[in-house]
Parts: sequence; C-alpha cells; structure tokens
Amino acid sequence: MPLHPLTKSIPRWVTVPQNISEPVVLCQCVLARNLAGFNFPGRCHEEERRVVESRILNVLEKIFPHSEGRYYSASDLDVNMMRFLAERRIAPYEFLGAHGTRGIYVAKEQSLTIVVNMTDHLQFRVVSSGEPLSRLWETVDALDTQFGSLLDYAYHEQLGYLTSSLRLVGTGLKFSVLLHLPAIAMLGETPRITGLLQPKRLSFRGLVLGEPRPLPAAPAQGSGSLAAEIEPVSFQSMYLDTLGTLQTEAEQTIGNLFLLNSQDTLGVSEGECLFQIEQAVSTLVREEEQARERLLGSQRVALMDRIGRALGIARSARLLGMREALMLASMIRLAAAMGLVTGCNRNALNLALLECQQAHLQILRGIPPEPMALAPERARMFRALFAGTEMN
Amino acid sequence: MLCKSCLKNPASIKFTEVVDGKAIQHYLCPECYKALQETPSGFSFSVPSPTLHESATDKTDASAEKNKLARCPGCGAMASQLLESAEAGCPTCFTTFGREINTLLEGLQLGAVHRGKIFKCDDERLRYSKHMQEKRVLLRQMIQEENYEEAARLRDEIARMEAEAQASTIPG
Repeated sequence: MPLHPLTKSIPRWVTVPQNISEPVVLCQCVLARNLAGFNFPGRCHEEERRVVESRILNVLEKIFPHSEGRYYSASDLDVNMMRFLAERRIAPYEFLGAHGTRGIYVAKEQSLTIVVNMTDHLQFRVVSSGEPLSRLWETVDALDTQFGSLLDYAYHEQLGYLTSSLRLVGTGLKFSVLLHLPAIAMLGETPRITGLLQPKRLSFRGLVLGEPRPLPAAPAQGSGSLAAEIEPVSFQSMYLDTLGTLQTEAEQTIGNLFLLNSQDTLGVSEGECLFQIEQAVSTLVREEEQARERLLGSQRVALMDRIGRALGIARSARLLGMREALMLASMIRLAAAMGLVTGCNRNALNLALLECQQAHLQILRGIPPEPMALAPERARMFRALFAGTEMN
Repeated sequence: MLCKSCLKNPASIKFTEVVDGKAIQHYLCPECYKALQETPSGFSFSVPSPTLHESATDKTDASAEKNKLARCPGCGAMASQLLESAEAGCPTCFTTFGREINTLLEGLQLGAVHRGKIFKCDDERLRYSKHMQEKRVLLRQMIQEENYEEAARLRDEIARMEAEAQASTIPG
C-alpha cells in the first residue's frame, strides 16, 4: 500500500534548532471559531456540515491560492491514519471521535492545521518548538482575521466568540506547552511546582498513555513470560486534546513530560493569557535548570549511573514497551542537555518521542498492531538512534 | 486541600455541580471524580444531606426540574444536557439558557465579560446570518411536524440563498 502524503515529511517541531531552551519540547496555540447561523458541529445535520465545510474550503482557496498545504476529508483517512495525525499533534484527539463530514487542512511543514467540523466549525492550530509563543499567536491571529473578513463568526457582545464548550467561550484561545522536566521530577519537586502555578490559573498536568481508560494491570512476576512489560496497543500513543481530558496528575506523568495549559478564555484578553503562560514557562525552565545543577552537585554518581543504565538499555534492548522507551528517551535527553553524552542530537531525541508511538510504527515501518510486533521494532529504532551515543 | 468525598487524598479536580441554578464547587481527588463519572445516579458525599429544608424546597426542585427539560429552539438541546456537559448546541443556546450558562461560566471562567479580540461584521452580513438561522430553525420544525412539502421548499430556498451568498460575499 502506498504511503500517505502526510507520512513523507517530518513535522517542523521535530527538526527544531539546537539553540532553543531544552525543557520546552513543543508549544501549541489553538483557536476555536464557529460560523454564525449554524448549529455547532455536535448538533449539525449532515447537510449543514457539508455547507459549513464548503464555505470554509471556499475561504481556504481564497486565502491560500497557491499553497503547498492540502485539505484531507475525514472520509479519506482511516482510523489508523487519524491516530497517526493525533500522535503528531497535527489533529487533536477529539478528531478521532468526531463524526460526519469533517476534515483537516495541513499546511506545509505540518506546523499549521485547520480542523473543520470537529467540536467547533473551525479550529486553527499552530504547533512549533523553535519559536516564542507570541509568534504562534501572531500566526493564528492573522489567519483568524483573514477568515473573519470572509465569514461571519458566532459572536456575542458580552461573551465574545461562541464555542461549543463553555471552557472556550470568549477568546476561544488555548495555549499548551509540553515540557521535559526530569530534574524537577527526580528531586520530588513536582507538587511544589504545581502549587507555584495554581494561583496563576494555569494547569500543570501530566501526560497519559493512550485513550482515557485505565491501563490494565501488568502480569504478576513469575507468570512464565520472560518478555519485558509491554502495554496493549491502544496504550502506545501520546495524544493531546484541546480541553485537557487526556491529562493526569503531574506526579503520575510519563517520561518526565509535563503539560502547561492556559485555562481562562473569558474575562482575560489574548495578550494577558499569552503573558501569563510565557511567564510560567520562563519560571519552569529556570526551576528545571536550577534543579539540574542541584542534581549534578549532590547526586552526580547516582545521576551518571541512571544515564548509563538508560543508554545501555536503549542501545541493546530487544523489546521496548512505550513507557520504558519514554523513560529511556527522557534520561538520554537530560544527559544530552547537560553535556554528559556525545553523539546525540535534538532531532534524534524528538524522533524517538514521536516515532516510538504505535500508529507511527505501524504506518512508517509496516508493523502489525500487536504488542509483541511493535516492541521489537521500537527497540530496533532506539538501537539505531542511539548507536553512536557515548557517555563523556 | 483534601478531597471532599474521601477526605483522604489531595483534591486536584474542581468539579462544578449546578443545583437549582446555583453552581456548587466540589474539590475531588481523581479516584472520586472517576467514581462520580462511573455512577449513573451521580455522586453521594459523606456529608449528611440537608433534611430540614426539604419540604420547603420541593416546589423549587419541581420548577428546576421543569427548567432542565426546556429545549433550545435553535438546536433542540435540553438545559439538562447543557448543565451536564457544559457544552452548548448552537449560538441560540446562549440566549435561551442565559441564566444556566452564566452560572456555569462563573465556575469555569475568570470573568463574565469578553475582554479579547472584537469581531467586526457589517450589519448586512449580520442580518443575513440571522435570517439564515431562522430559516434553518423553521426547516427543522417542518421536518419534525412531518410537513415535508414545506420542508423541501425551505431546503431549496436555503440552498439557493447559500449559493448566492457564496458568489456575492466572498471576493474573487
């Protein structure tokens, strides 16, 4: 089967320049809008959905006449491809569960997407890593202004932009930042950081594996199988959704990855929201850097031991589960950022995060959706990515 | 802060329940929140429920129950659905269920008034949008009443107006 065009390039957030602050893995800016005169997609008839889609496509053609981007109708994407897009942060998780006429416009470099008829008629999304959040907002804002000059938005004088979820009413704007904070996690400082951010009305949460269902218990020791702990296939992805229902307590996160999300959309302006989250990101980056220094000063041998073990497993494992892979990637990422290892660049680390997920392994490497088929391929990928990585 | 249900684990989830039009905030731990979601009849707190005022509030409860069954003329969504999911079905819900929505927003958002980017739209376009919304509401009513002849006429009229709008309002 030929590869889908979207699988042939790597998203821009993966190939990020080396000089940006390491704890920030990626930033996301999402803006929701609805067309006046129509029900929101959840309550739209199929005929109305088609009209909304056709109007939006018409505007897309006017705004991007010679674009290298392309609109993909959901009917052209199978579930696995939708999972692939969700794993890449191109589509939000909700896109998988939505129904009826819907689609997604993906611009060149896969950093800008426009989701049509999901929970709202329009969702502009920009995902990046090497740029400040303000740049992301500028891109989304300009696009929104262009669309707004050609389409009538559902707007209320007091409540602002009307959205399906009351959590987005007002500006319709959400910022999310994915951060890698291993030193804070290892020093047990996560509750302190959560407390630090609470008064700012920002949510600081952990990532979960797969869909919002509890992970089944691992088989008891001595069960007769020598295989490493491998999760069921549906728990081998990391999704992001718009409203944060796929997130967990910060202390329970996986791979030392944390999500900082803006919360309020009513009663705050876009600028205030941006300022709050930018300040919080600076605080988190500073806290992590200080925690890394403390870790190196007081527990250098233990830290080097953990990194050495992680590197050893990454370079020689034959079976890797998702959770374990993320933990290994986290330790190697920390070591690379602190200059404790050589022969490992940021692209490889981002690729490890992205391509260890199930839909990526299935689509890019042609692996069947079985835990014991995905685990050896994930291990093979890690061995190749970190073959040249050595401890200093 | 401890979870208000089990009084053991730290509370990390703020859950807003709307009772008689008033938002009551509960602070729960993830386990108790999950239990709440999985229990069809809702959640029972260990705090004793009020008994003295029950007879006095019976009437209010009945009127609140009636309000919950009210439907939005725009999309047919019920107030109870909106209260349960904090999701509106269409722009008309915001005027139909204004009181319920304001109460929910109090618990969910920092303020009650939009302070962000303002959408500018000329009067003619606004009138057109409202007119089209009215036509669609009417079409839905006709279908519900099984008046298929009128529904077909409205459907064709909407399609014609849509085509004209596409040709005229979008430049190029």
